[in-house]
Amino acid sequence: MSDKKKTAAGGKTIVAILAAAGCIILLLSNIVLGPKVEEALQSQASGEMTAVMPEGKGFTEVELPADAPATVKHIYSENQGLGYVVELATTSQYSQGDMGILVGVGKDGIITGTAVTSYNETRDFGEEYPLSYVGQDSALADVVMTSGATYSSTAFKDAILDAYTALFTFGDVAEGQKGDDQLIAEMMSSILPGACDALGAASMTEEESPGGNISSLSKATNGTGYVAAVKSGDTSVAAVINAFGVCRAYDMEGNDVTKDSRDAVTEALAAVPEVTEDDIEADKSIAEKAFEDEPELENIEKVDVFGTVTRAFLDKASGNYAFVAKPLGFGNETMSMVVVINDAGEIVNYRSASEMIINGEYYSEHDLKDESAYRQQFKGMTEDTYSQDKAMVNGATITSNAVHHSIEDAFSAFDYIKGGDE
Amino acid sequence: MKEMINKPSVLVILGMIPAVGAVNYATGALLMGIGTIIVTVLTALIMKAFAGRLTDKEKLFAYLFTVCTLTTLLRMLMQAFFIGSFGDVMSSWNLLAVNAMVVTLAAVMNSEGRADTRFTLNCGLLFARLLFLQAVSREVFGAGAFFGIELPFPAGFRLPLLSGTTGGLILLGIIAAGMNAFLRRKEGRDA
Repeated sequence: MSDKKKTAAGGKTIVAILAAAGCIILLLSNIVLGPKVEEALQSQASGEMTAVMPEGKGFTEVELPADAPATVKHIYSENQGLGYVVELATTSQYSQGDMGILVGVGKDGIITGTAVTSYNETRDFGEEYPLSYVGQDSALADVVMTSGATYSSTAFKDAILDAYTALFTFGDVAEGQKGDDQLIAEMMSSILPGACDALGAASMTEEESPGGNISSLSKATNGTGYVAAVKSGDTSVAAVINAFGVCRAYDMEGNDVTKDSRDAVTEALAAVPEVTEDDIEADKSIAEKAFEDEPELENIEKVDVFGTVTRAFLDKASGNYAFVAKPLGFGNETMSMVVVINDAGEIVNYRSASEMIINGEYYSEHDLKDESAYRQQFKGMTEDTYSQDKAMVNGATITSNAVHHSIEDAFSAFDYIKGGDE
Repeated sequence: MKEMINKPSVLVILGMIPAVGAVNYATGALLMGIGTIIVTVLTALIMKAFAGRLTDKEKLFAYLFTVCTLTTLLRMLMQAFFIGSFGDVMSSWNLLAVNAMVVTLAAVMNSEGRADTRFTLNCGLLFARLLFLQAVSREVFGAGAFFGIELPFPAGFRLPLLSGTTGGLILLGIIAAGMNAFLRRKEGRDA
């Protein structure tokens, strides 16, 4: 055997010995350190869980319900039956990675603690926001979204609601009861859709309560109307007043009870400011710019629609109708759009009173290179030929949706005026 | 290109790329840097006894076994005794094997097949210093913190890009360029 071959054979033996030695060392380490590692891992996990359930003495993972929301990753039961700790992972439109959440929920349905285990949002909702959930039940009545981080705080809230959805399947966690004011607050987006922001939530500001039977009064930030919670016997009704001064009333199940709630409607109408001549003139001056020839605009009163349209005019000269719509755009800014529709129901003109794409609105390039051509394309469209995709602009979804709502709502208002949607 | 790759310092910087993706804060970089030094120096000491009796191919396997064994052992020790404090670093601890292997190879490359202990230590220190430098820069300017302590740093002056992998790689490129310029100047002076 040559020296080279001897070296090679010896080398292989050394490599084999090193590999075997490595295996033996790791095996022995595992025997000696394994239990300690396991204990340390459990202690760490238990420590994190104790942070959200301070009374907890130990936790055991339980099987996830089959229909648990995707955000629910693990559920741990407290060993003495105090409640559960749920591990969640969620994302928002501002996520660069998962937002990890731990929430402790007692058997009484009360949140014992929350912790954000990982945060990869570009907008910071602050340290106080997750802590505002502690002490709440599944109704989450007192949770207020963090302004400037609405998407991230909504993602957090939705994840907590997902945790409850999963826990309710166990049948031993109490469900929180929602008060009338909270039910009405949740109803606002459906009874006053014109006030909805890009997330579909009604953008409202709380007004000073006028007293009487009205327990709360909220005003849409884009001027599309008001919502009042009016006590009616043992329960409440939600009275919604649009920008035309038309009021409808809804019960807590969302049923229209206007005819049976005359007193509540009258009280709600008295609580909100009446439409003034100045309001009408301001919108008229916006609408006039959508006409090539000098129009003779006449205000149309009491239009029973609750979308983004805040004013309607009839041009006596041409017979066309002008609808002023105020949808919420990027950053919840109120946009002013004018849709002119002729007697045959065709769009004659579409105009934005201000710059359509707000400067710095989007991170990426949008496709709206020629705003004039974009507006012109709507001319001649009717309710039957128009569809949402016509309004869509790549990279400017929020503005596109605002445009879509203004057109859709103008058609609804036109139908109402022409008697087709009464 | 081949000449460039053969430089231990360049290899160390290239080997840092996975770690840069995982470590963007000072504590993590410090622990990973120290861990890398421990594993590489111990590997060099162990291999000192055998390197002369192994072919190049066999050395690669031997280094690999040794580095992986030591990395796993160190991980278990960390988990058994320190995990409560360093849980975040543990999630990317296995990358240490890559770091240690790269540093070891960089040292071996310069020592005619043997991992000289002192040179390995220097390579490890270079790796740890660079990793720490980039991580501190990212934590301070990206997250406005230092060793997890929030700095009175106006939010508007933070660069969130630095916290991400892309920012880390850009920073690594800047550090590499700075290092290259320094070495060229030094070479010029020596000549």
